[in-house]
Amino acid sequence: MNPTAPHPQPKRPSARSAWALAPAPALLALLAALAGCGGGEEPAAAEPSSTAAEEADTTAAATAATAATAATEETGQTRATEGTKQALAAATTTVGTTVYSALTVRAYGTLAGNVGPVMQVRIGNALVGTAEVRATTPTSYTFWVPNLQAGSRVDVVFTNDAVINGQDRNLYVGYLQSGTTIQLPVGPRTLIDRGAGAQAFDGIDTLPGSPALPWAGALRVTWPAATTAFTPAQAAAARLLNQATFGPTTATINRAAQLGPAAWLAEQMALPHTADFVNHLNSKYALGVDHRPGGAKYDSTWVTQRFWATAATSPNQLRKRVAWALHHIFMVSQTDSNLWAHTRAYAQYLDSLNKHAFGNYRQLLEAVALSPAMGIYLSHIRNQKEDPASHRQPDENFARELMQLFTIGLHELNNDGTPKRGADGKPIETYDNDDVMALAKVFTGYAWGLPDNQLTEANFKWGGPDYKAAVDSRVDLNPMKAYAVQHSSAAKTLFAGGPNATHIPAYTPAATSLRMALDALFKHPNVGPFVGRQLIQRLVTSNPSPAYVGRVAAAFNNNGAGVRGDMAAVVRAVLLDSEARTPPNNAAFGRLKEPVQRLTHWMRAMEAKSSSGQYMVVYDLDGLGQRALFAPSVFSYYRPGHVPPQTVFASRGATAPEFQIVNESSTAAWVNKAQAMTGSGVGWNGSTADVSSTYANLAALAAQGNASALVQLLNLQLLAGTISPSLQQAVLDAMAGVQGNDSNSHLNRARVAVLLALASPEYVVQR
Amino acid sequence: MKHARRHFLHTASALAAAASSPLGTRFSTPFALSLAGLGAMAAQSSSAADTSGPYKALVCLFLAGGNDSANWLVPTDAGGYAEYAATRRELAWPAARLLPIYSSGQGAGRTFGMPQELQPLRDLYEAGRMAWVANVGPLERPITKADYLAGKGVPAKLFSHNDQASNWQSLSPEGATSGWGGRMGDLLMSANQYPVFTAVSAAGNAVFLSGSSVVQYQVNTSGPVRVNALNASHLHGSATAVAAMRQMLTATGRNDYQREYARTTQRSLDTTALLQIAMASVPVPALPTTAVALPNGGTLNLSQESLAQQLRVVAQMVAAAPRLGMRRQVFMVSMGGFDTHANQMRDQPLLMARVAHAVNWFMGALTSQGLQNNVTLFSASDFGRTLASNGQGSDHGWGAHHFVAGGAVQGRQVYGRMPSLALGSADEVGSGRLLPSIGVTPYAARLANWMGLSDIETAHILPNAPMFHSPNLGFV
Repeated sequence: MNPTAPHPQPKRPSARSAWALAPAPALLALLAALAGCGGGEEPAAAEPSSTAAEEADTTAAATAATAATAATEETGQTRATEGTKQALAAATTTVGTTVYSALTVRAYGTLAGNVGPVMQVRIGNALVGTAEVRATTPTSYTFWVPNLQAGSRVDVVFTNDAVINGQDRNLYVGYLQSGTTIQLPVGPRTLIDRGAGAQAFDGIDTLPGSPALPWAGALRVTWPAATTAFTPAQAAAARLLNQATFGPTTATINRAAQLGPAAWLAEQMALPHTADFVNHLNSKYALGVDHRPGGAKYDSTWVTQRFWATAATSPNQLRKRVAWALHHIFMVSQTDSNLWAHTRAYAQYLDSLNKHAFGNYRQLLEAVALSPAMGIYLSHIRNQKEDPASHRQPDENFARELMQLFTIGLHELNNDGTPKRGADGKPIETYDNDDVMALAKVFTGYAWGLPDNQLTEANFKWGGPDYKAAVDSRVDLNPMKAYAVQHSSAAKTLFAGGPNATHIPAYTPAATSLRMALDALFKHPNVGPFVGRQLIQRLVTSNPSPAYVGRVAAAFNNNGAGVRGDMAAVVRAVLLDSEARTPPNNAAFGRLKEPVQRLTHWMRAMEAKSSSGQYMVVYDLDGLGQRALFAPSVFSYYRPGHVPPQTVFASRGATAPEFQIVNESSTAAWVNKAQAMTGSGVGWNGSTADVSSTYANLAALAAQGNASALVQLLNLQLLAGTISPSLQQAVLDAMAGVQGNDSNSHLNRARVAVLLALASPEYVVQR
Repeated sequence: MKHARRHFLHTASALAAAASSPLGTRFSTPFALSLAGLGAMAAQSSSAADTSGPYKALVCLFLAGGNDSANWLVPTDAGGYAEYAATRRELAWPAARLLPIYSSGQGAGRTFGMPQELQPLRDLYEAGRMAWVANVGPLERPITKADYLAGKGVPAKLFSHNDQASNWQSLSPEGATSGWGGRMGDLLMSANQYPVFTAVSAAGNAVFLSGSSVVQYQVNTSGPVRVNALNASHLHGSATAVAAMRQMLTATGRNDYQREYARTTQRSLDTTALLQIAMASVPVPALPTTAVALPNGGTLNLSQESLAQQLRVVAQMVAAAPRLGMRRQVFMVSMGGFDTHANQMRDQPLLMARVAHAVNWFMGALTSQGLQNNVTLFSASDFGRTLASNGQGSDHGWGAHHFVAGGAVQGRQVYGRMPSLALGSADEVGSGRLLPSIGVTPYAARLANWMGLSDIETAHILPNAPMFHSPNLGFV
């Protein structure tokens, strides 16, 4: 039955070896089995207490050892098993001159006559162990093997093939693992030598390697050299890129790892802004009147498509991601059907968020206030001055949200973002309705930026861009202009009686009124902590410490050169803060990735491409509560102050904004989306899913059978190097069930590995 | 009965206290969120629950953005209409567009109408299955205009969307951790075989349905969503991936975010199949796919209307309630677009038609199942709007008219007191922002009573209830 003599098993190692790392029950059982049955080839290394069974059957010992491991798993002691597997994966021990390694065969089988497939494990043709595989789902069988090294010949031999009463006994091998090396039973390093007994070793009737052994034979692996893992610098770079971009790519990981965070930020900030959204819309509008609003070929989702295209492909990643964070704060949403005809004005608004992402907050405020898209969304375009005769009052919409959402918020804040409290212990409100009504008067008289000689009352009320004109006038790209006749000449007092009081005298011209009002808001001490905390939440962590908020607010207040509102300094303060850069050591750090980011991260990391070139993705995230650029209201996709009820967050009063759109439906919808992302793709171009990945890099590794490299690449690119042992196991076990060794099977291995990773609670959290 | 209720309250408070104390983290263990866990919690208090009588469900219809309800219920007597038209100017509906309604309870000579776009709602009203409640809004206690001007008893953060939406739903501004629908659910969940379905939102996350014990269960407009991968035999050709996926999805996470995310996933996996099967077994009709013509020439296709879709899911869950052993449920549906600062007269007809047709379909669907008396739907919104115009629309206000619909409603009546619509009256606090004459609290209390809560229990979910006298609010 055994063509060669069994190889002896090593003695129980000393307490200093890797064994000591995991004193788990299964491990103790394994040790006991080894101690009781250890072979005697290397007596010098023998434990003094190990005297009984010098000549014991080492095959039985190995069987006992593997049985101990498998049995423990079946009893559900997953934690202990995890520790055991970890220890085994790491374990080598030296007995005399022989290095013993733990070799794990992840296998399962089908039983016949209540007997499972028996597998022998041989190294260099020497039998090192035998196990009956009774498990029907992937299960670890671990053997101590001598002298396993690159080039070693490893055989897993299926010895008892049979069909009994119609039950076909088969052996399935998911992978072989020793240390960090994980080899799939496919690829050029593997073959199957068919035949029973000696025929399994005759080199005749061989097939390419395969997970399935439906007949007697040996699965032969030429053991690979250890895969080079990613470096700590690469993992740190991937982590930075999760915070600062729409997702890491191989190239950006390497660049950021090379430069380090500060220099990488500087390099990114030096990239010039390009008007990607408007340029795209211009290229469409230039195709003719039928491509402009009202035309048959006009499509208001061009801007959405451009968002995905630039998020996926633009080198200007930091700017794009910061602009996306600003979009959350300065929300203009395409849910407003009044914007439908003014997509290019909306594009211009999005460009302005990008333009000012590293500029000054005061200029950003002015760009926002005078944007016709914002004017439409918060209805201060064509906002008429008050009229006592008809009781007409100016529209308060923009004025209110400018204070509540864009600058100072509802409560007076300390510089660290904590609320100031009045004598009654309650937070102090920053403004009252009189302030809203006064500020509303400032924003009267603004309408489309027609030529200066056309700023008439009629044009104030009805004038605007003519998209049907033969020559595209591009009025929609101009800031709104003041139409003096409709600007309120009343005196406007903000924050009366307080330290931030500003008085705008009667008959102050519109432009001066606006400048004075924006200056007053910009100089309010709330802005730094109010905006700073939200940027931290969008980029780094849901619950920054007050000290972290304080440091970011300080950068807002003064960039070091006496300038207030320097967004480049703010972004640096957010991303270079020790709280952001130090790997997290507490469970409360981090944030849930918003659905948009989960999709862009996948596009970038997995090099997903648009078959139309247009990134025609619009409705894919509806089931997850975040159609990009279609937030339900000016309050964005979710609120920065959201505390998810009845969670560990609620027990601490901690905010976790993204959880506002997490529910029983959206969690399921995400897994379904991940399935599509790893299948046909996302979006729709009229005939197929538009954006998909070939998973070529991962499939190539699968084709080599190089599971360690595959998992490590997945780990670095999707999980910033933080994959948990249990997720790694799930990924490997999912791949184990793919049969075949053709290119399609390799692609499926890549796909199912990515699916498990994307769907995992680990991927959806950014730490 | 009294004794039983007191005992029940005690149990509920103990549960609530446990949930909010550090020890209460036991409720965040998988056990507490599993059906078994919730069932066990329910069993602890089942001896005290007072939920005799037929199944009842409350449906909150939230009109997001602040509905200008002063244009939904309009005075039509000569004096009243003149006042309306003078204040609202370009925001006033012509009298010819108003359908008269039977008016009672508002004094001799006063008559009212509803715009023709609300015809389906008006028909419900005339059939006695819908009532108006005039000038409702958040109040800590009843106050006068003089109180308001003196800053006495003024609710915090008036006129702010998110804060007043929260105030309506929870009696507190944004940041509230529970709403009165959820707190009601805390007291009622023990009556349900599956307490996890006590408070159900088809409208996304809403503080209204958060309680101390109750977790709001969220479905989308087509109902619960299942994880397709777990119902497959192979994933990308792998026979072992489904099992690996199942274990991975709910694995204990390594940080708060993973753990809470996995907990929600677990709840989804535990309940979706059960709910889908129960909902599939009820004969609730599909939404009509034929567009109906609207008075202004437009059309409305209910099958494509989110609100109608949400209400259909609610109707299915209500019809499935007996199969799931449910006795008391609170639902939330919502529709946006009511923040009519601009283009109000262009947009309001469609907004009204959407609500009226969807609610009417819902009532018909319930009637077809013989459930019309078991469900009461009520409207809520961020706030009413200024009576004064900004030229194109209206701004953030306070008090607003609301409607209640259902077979149990004592309809065909306007409850409360219709306010004066004149600027400068004692009923408005500037620009025609109406000072509510009925607080959200007594409005909610009436609904809570209908659901079976005692006055003591009502005060538990609406802590300022004792601040209000009991006006004539017997609308249900």
